This record gives sequence, structure tokens and C-alpha cells, in this order.
Amino acid sequence: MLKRNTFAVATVAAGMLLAACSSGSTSGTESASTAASQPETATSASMAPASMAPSAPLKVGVVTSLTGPAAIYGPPVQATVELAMKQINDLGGVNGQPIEIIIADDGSNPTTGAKAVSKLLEQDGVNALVAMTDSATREGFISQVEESGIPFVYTTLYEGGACLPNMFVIGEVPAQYDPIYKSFVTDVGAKKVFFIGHDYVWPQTVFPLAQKSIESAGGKVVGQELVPFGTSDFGAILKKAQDAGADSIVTGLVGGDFGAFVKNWRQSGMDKSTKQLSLTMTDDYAQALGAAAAGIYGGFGYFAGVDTPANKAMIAAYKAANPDAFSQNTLTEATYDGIQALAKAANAAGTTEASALIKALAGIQLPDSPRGALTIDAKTHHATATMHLLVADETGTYSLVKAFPDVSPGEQCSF
Amino acid sequence: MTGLEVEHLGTGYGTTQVVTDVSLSVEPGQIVAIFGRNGVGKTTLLRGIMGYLPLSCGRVLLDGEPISGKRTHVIVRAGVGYAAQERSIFSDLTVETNLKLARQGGDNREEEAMLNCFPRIRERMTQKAGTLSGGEQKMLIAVRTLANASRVAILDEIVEGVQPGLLGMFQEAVRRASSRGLSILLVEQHLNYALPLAHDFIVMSSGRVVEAGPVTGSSREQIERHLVL
Amino acid sequence: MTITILNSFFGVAVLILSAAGLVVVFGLMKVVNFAHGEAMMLGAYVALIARDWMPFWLGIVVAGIGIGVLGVVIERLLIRRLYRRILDTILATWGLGLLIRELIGAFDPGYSSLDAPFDAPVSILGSDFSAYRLFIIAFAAVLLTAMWVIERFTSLGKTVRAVISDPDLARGIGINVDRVYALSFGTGWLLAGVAGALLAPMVTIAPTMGGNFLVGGFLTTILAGPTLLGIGPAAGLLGGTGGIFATIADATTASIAVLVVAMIAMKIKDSRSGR
Repeated sequence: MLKRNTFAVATVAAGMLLAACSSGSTSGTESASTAASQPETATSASMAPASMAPSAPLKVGVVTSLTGPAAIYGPPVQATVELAMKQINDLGGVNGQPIEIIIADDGSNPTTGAKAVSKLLEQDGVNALVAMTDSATREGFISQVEESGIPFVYTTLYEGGACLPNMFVIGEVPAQYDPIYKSFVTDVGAKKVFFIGHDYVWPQTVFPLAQKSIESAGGKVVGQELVPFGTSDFGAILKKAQDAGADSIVTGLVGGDFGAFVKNWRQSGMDKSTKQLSLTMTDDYAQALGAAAAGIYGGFGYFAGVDTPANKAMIAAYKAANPDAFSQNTLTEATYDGIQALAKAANAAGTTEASALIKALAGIQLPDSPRGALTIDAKTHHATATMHLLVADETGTYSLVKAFPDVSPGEQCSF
Repeated sequence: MTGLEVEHLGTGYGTTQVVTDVSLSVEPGQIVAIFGRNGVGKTTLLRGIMGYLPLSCGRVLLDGEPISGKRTHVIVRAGVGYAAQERSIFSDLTVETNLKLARQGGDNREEEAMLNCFPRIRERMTQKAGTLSGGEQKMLIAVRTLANASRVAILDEIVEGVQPGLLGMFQEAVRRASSRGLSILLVEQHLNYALPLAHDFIVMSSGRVVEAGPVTGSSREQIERHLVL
Repeated sequence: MTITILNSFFGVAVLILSAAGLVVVFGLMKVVNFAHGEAMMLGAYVALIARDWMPFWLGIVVAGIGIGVLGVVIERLLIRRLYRRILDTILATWGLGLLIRELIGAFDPGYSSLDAPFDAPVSILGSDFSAYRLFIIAFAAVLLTAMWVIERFTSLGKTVRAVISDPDLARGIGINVDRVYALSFGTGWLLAGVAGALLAPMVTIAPTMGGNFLVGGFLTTILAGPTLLGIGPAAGLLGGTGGIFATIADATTASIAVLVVAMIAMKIKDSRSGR
């Protein structure tokens, strides 16, 4: 489960601050539509294939955390979604009509999240939904989504196993980390690994799978320690890792505690004797840590430095629109892919009718996704995509150690 | 008018009026004693004068200047010494510190004089105040209050629980303070101690003044009538 | 073994730092300051911002003075109206904490990082130990000694002890108790600001960071009792327990053990004081 604050996103960047402030002033739901600048005219209708009656425009509701404890994630997601919308509309929209996007704030909690989804479904009449929320919030509105029958794309890195006929997942699941762990052993040289994570479902799910991968690659797990939220003193735990003879540490620590851990690790001198693979240090968190992040490994489906024209173009466009914002991270980029997948499916289906859209989404391919070629498996409704083993440098910027294309999400759902 | 004046004072706790329409005055060098049974509002009156309790009506003047409405420490610093009835010492601090904390200025000549009245306290300077006997604690309170008051001293049952043989010491101390021009207001149960000192007396009952006048030969009888009832 | 002992000392030091301000405010004013964690958080932010303008150490001083002045202002505007209403002060300071957190969150919802002035470990009896941790331990020891000296031997300390033991009597001998309260609330916030700034290089600076220190700080304060000096043994007991259990068991067990020991210690203390 992607718990609140799971992926702490640094917001030193002033642009994000501005985004947060502006969203705060219009909390609740807001329309990010630029439809007004592109009026629905007879010309745009005529762009649709002549054989078809003009279908309803694609109206996508996006749910994310603009306020509350997870408010660090929402604003960049909102900015990214606006970019996707603009790019799609600049290329002629969907089925000849501009795509419309309505952003709703889940307030970082399931109750507000469920209300936001009700409003999107009933009042705004969206015909597709995208969510970048934690698992608790997702579970709070999932029955509404199931009832509505409209396509739902979930773009959050999560624990896996959420299945609905109308739900599709873009975002890493634990099974996709297998090559990351193996490469951490064989390429980085981690032989004796110690696990440190927060005491909740996500590390509890992830660590046994990690152990299997590490052992199958010839490494050994020498210990594990789960800590309560709000732990900032890791002195005793680092001592245990040292006593266990660990030469490397895998961390599944969320929020501010991860930053505290990194400082403990550095100040104790353990950074000299152990390598660290962090499962939670996104690009922006690494940037916020700066030099303290240097040498820490990360594993994600996406990082800002993906070396493809598609990614470079996307980041350039994002920076042009949000000059002060931090670059992309795996959460924002997945949401970008979610919007693109919906637009592509609607174009392919030639309609925004729910069952046709769902049919088109199953098996849809985004060969030019910024993270690399991405396919939503028709059977599992989860994405097969590239995984990256990364290492941060002195400035807290990730560079690629190794990329693993077409990593399967494993057994998730069966449709 | 100089000294302490109380005009139509009314006060109490919360909405409960305990003291109603009490007026009195104590001129410099004068000693006034207030008598009354337990619970008639004597201590409440003093707490009202000292600014611990808000006044519902009336006012208090010090040398003609109103002091009612001011905060307690301001009233104290204006020269009004107050010895509360309850165990009013800092038992964890030494006798010396207890005295030092109350010193208003650098000058402690009066303290020396008072210590001469109560030589036992001088012997106990380095002891914690809480280790003093009940009588000695009262002596400490007397020294502290009388030495630091420059205009008015208000003593609430200062000899309560003190051995009869020691009462003379307290009388001596009060007389000495009075002789240097303090207005002294005593609240007492103890007629043998207070009557020989007082110039004027007041008897309170149910929060009101029921008898007042200069102390004369018949005063004891007048007062006792109210006390036994 | 050396490292384990030093880690326990560090745990005790953090408790002393996070409880010092609380103890001053609670001991003198019987006010439970639920915004204490936020005062620490503000101290950390001051240190973070000061980094660009002045040396780290000066930033600590600025944090202490700045947060201390803020404390005096808050006492004047808010706390003064609520004396002797424990429940009201809890609600008011809790609300205040929430407000501060949201306010800072509006400007910096994210996670910032401040480097320690010295980050490298030092070798002690053959084992590496964080130099900054050693400094925190030393600082806590100095703070505790200073509090002891002030309380025992200075006239300020005597005034403070007088106000603690009987505020009404203190008024009655001419002590300006309201000013003592304002200054002690300010001192409580000053200590929180310094603690937050000092601990900032070891944690992630975020609006919510105060909560991490609050539980330990409260337990220490309750155990410390009305005198400022109780903080030493209280922090020693809780920090020691935490250190031992974090070593022989795990962090979760350690936090449970600290709670249990705190409850037992409070029971013993209550029965001794005859309550």
C-alpha cells in the first residue's frame, strides 16, 4: 500500500510552492479545462470521421491530493495533467474534440476522496477517471468506480493485487522489482543484505519478495528490522546491521523518516561500509537530500533522466510550462501516461462510451511513453514496462545503472 | 487622608458575594483589629483588599490613591505587606531565601530589627523553612511581612497556633512596626493578643460590619457577644 | 558495547532536549504546551533558513531567540487568558500547533534537509560513532547542568522555585508572577527552538516533524514532576529503556517498553506522593 507520505517529494522548488498555494485557494474540485479556448464548433465536429456521429467529448476526472498530509504529491500531478491535456488538444484533441480534465482534491483521506469522486461522477459526468492517491483513499471510492462502470486508470506505485474489470494500473508493483534486486546483488555487489522498513503492509509485502530475488541471485539476507512511523533515531538498528555483517541495506522507509535514516547512516560512518538501495527515494527526494543522497541506489519505473527523445521532449515541455517546478518523478509521469492511454483508447474506439473505452484500454500500447515502451496487459490490467536501477550523484541527481525493459507485473488479475 | 481606606467594599468568589459593603480606615501608626467567627468573610475581605479577588463594588485607597483593580504584586510593592492565614512560607526554600525573596529594596534594616524581636529565626537562617515548627513559621511570616511593608501591614491570624508564652514577642513586633508609622490591620480570633494592641476594632458577621469603634474597657464584652453567638 | 551505550546516551540527550522547554512551562505554569513540537519545528526551519545567511551556530542562537520571543507574544495574547484552566490551555495550544503546522505547510509542504556542521564519525575505543551525536550528548549534559545551577544557585532560580511552589504567596511578597510566567513560557519556547534547530541536521525538516519528539518529551515531562531537575532521571530512565530494548529487541518493542516503564514509574511516583 502506498501509504500517505510514501514518496516524500521535495518542494524546495518555488514553482511547486506556487502550485500548492493556487490549488489551496480553490480547494475542492476545480476545472483545469482549456475548453473555453477551443470552443466546440462545427469545424471541430467535422474533423471526426464522416461515417460517425460526433461522440461526446472525453471528460476525464483526475483525483489526487492537493491538500492534507499528502499535499506534496498533488500539485505536480496537477501540473503534469494540464501539460498532457494541452499536448493532446494541440494535436487535435480526442475524436476531433478537445479533451476536458477536471481535477478533484482527495484531501489526503478516504472520506474526502469518496466525495470528490461522487462529484466527478454525478455532477461533472466524467466518462473516465484517473487517480494518483494512496491505497486507503483508492479503497474509499473504488466501489463507486465499480458501479459507474467507466474506465479507471490508477497511476500510483502500490502493493499490487487490486482488480476490477474497469480498472487499469500504470505504476510499479512489487513483482517488477525482481530484476532490480538481482542487479543490486550481481552488478552492485550486495552480498549480505539488511532490510529496514516501516512497520506496515507495503514493506511487509515487499521484503519477502525481495529476499527471494536476492537469494536467487546468490546474495544473503542477514537481518530485517521494521520500525514504527515517526522513528528518527536509527542508531541501534544500524548497529545491528553492522553486527550482522551487512555490506548493504535495502530501505523501505517513507516520508521524513527516510531522510532521518540517511543522515543517521552518514553520521555513523556506515555509509563507508554499506551500500544502500532505497525503494522510496524518488528523483525529487534525492534532489532535496543533495550530497547526502550521493551513492544511494534507487529502483523505479521512471526517473527524470530517462534517455529517450520522448522523455526529453516531455520534460522540456513541462519545464517550459512550469519554469520553477521540479522535474518529473515516477508518480507524475505515470499519471501523464494514464491520460495519454485514455486519449489513445478513445481515439482508437472512436467514442467515449465506457465499454468501448475499456475494451480499447485492455492491451493498449504506449511505445513512446517517457518511461519507455509500456503496455497495459489485457489479462492482468497492469502495465508491463521498463524498470531502472539508479544511483544518485553528489547533486542528488539519478543516473542509470541498468535498465530492464518489458518487466511483467506478474500475476495480478485475470480477466 | 493617609493610610489605608476601604470604601463600601464588596467581593466574593465567582458570582457568590461573600463580603458586602465593608468600610474601614487605618491611619499611619494606627492598629485596627477585625474580629468575627470563622467563615464570616474576614479572609475574603483581606484577599479583596490585596487584589487577589476582584471587587464587585467599592474601592481601596492607599494614602488617598486608589489601589483597587491593581495586581497583587503591584499593591505589595506600593508598600502593603500581607501575611495570609494559610501556611504562607516556601517550605522548600531556606529561611534566608524566604526573607530575601520578599525584600523590596537593598535596605534590610527593618529586617534586622524584626529579627531582634524573633531571635530564634536568626538561628534558623540556613534551615529549610518547612522544617520550622508551626510557631517559628508564624515568626518567619511576621518578620517577612512587617520588615518589608513600608505603609500598611495586614496580618491574618498571625498568632494562630502560637504558644501563649510567645504572644508577647508578636505584640512587641507589631508595636514596633506601628511605631514607625505603618497602618496595621489585624484579623484575629485571639482577643488576649489583639485587644491590647488595637486602637480600633471591627466585628464582622455574614460578610458585613456589625460592630465597630475605638477599643475601650467594654469592647471585649461587645466583641465576645458576637463571637459566641 | 561502546556504541550501544553511546546510542542510549544519545536517546537520553534527545529526550532532555525535547522535554526541557516543556518542563519549564509545565513546572512553572501548569500549562501543557501541545504546540511544543511545532515550536521545535519552527526552530528547525529558522536554522534551515539561517543557513544561507550565517554560520550554523549563529543560526541556533537566532532560532532560540526568535522562537523565544514568539513564545512571549503567544503567552501575552493567548495563554494569559487561560491560566488555571488546564483543559483550555491544552485545547488552545493544540489548536495553535495545528495552525502553525498548516501555516508552514502552506509555504513548505515538503521535506528539506540541513547538513550538520560536522558530519564525519569519530573513532571511540575502536568503533565509529557520529561526531554530531556526541555533540548532542554533550550539549544536553551542559543544558541539564545549567538548568540545575540556575535553579539552585541564582536568585532567578529561587524566584522560579517560589512561583512553582505557591504562585499566590509569590504575588503576596511582591513577585510579578505574570512576568515570570511570560518569561518562562518564552524560555520554554526558546529551549524548543534551540532543540529543534540542533536536532534539525539529524532529521528531515517538515511541518509535521514536531510530532516525532512530542511523545518522548511529554513522557519525560510527566515523569520529571514539578521541579526542573527531575528531567535528568526521567530522561535517563526512558532513554535507557528505549536504548536497551532497541538493541535486544526492535524499535517497535522499544517504544512499547518505554510506554510501559513510564506508566510503572508514574504509578510508583503517585503512590509515593500519597495520591
